[in-house]
Amino acid sequence: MNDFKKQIKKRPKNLNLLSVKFPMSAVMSVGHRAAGVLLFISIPYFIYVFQLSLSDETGFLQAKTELNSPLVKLFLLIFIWALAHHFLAGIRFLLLDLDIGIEKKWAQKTAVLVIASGFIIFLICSVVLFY
Amino acid sequence: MRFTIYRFNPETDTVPYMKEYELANIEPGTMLLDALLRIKNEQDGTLSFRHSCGEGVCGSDGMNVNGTNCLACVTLVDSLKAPIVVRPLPGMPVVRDLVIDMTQFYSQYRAVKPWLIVKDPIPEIEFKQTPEQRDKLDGLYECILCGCCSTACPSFWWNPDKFLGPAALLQSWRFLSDSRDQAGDERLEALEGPYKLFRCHSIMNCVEVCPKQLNPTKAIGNIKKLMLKKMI
Repeated sequence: MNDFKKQIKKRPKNLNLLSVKFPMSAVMSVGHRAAGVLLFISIPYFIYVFQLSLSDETGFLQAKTELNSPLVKLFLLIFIWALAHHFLAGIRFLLLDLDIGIEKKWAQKTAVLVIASGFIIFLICSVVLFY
Repeated sequence: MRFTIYRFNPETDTVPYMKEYELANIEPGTMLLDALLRIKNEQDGTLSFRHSCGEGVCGSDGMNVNGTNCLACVTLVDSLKAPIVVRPLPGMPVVRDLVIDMTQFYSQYRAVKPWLIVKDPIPEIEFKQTPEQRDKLDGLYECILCGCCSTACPSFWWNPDKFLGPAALLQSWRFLSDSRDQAGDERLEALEGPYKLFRCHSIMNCVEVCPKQLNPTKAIGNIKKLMLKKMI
């Protein structure tokens, strides 16, 4: 009996995430969370830049120069993607709560739409920021 | 056609491994279950998997095929990309090969009390329902408890003992929306807390894999709406 209990405890689980195929709605949801985390950890930096820009004229110019550096622009682009994806995915979840797009065929289409829109906004902002 | 199948024998193996099989002369229209039975009968008698009705009614042969949960008996081999990778349903303890231990799944099902609770004296002849009341059960009662949905749900993988999972919650809504049931308040009270119901984040993996085309996400949303309605 004890051997059997030990055997039960030792039972493996098939939980290799790389072997599981996730639908677009799941990919979008993971993106929603990742974007949320990114937005949250970006808050201190934006407070710092905002505070710097309000300090005095020199501070404002310093903040402007900082925001124009390529590295910060890259960070801003990722931030813009995160904001766009998080916002659009959030709207989609609110619509799901109202039973809009909750049917199987629409759920995947709207998920693709959210992912694609996030990237389109990212591309447009890349052009605006770098050219 | 090449098959890669998850193997684990608790008596001889310490860790699971993938084993390859080659199956020739697969006729058009062959279901995956038939192909697995051929492998078992012609090549490897030790290969273990559950199956019974063979027509998508009993829900015994749920498995993860090429990364997606499905019933082997209603999945056409022609519709799958080779090599066909067959694994047990994810996140459940493996008894042997493709056979999983469903104890946790059934205990979550039992937790929603999937039976009519009637407080008034039971009618002598029959319960009566209007056609409209009966229609509310469509898309809910058809669940065959194959486990494809719950085992496709990350919330169920990480919290199988706390989150009830899509299958159990679909049944919870089935009885909450039944005009004959008289335990709605108790049922809703039992679902309170951060895990049992609210661990669902509407990623809809369950809807994607359900072999009966049911929509547990919608059912979960309906339970949340009913909770809100009762609260107000």
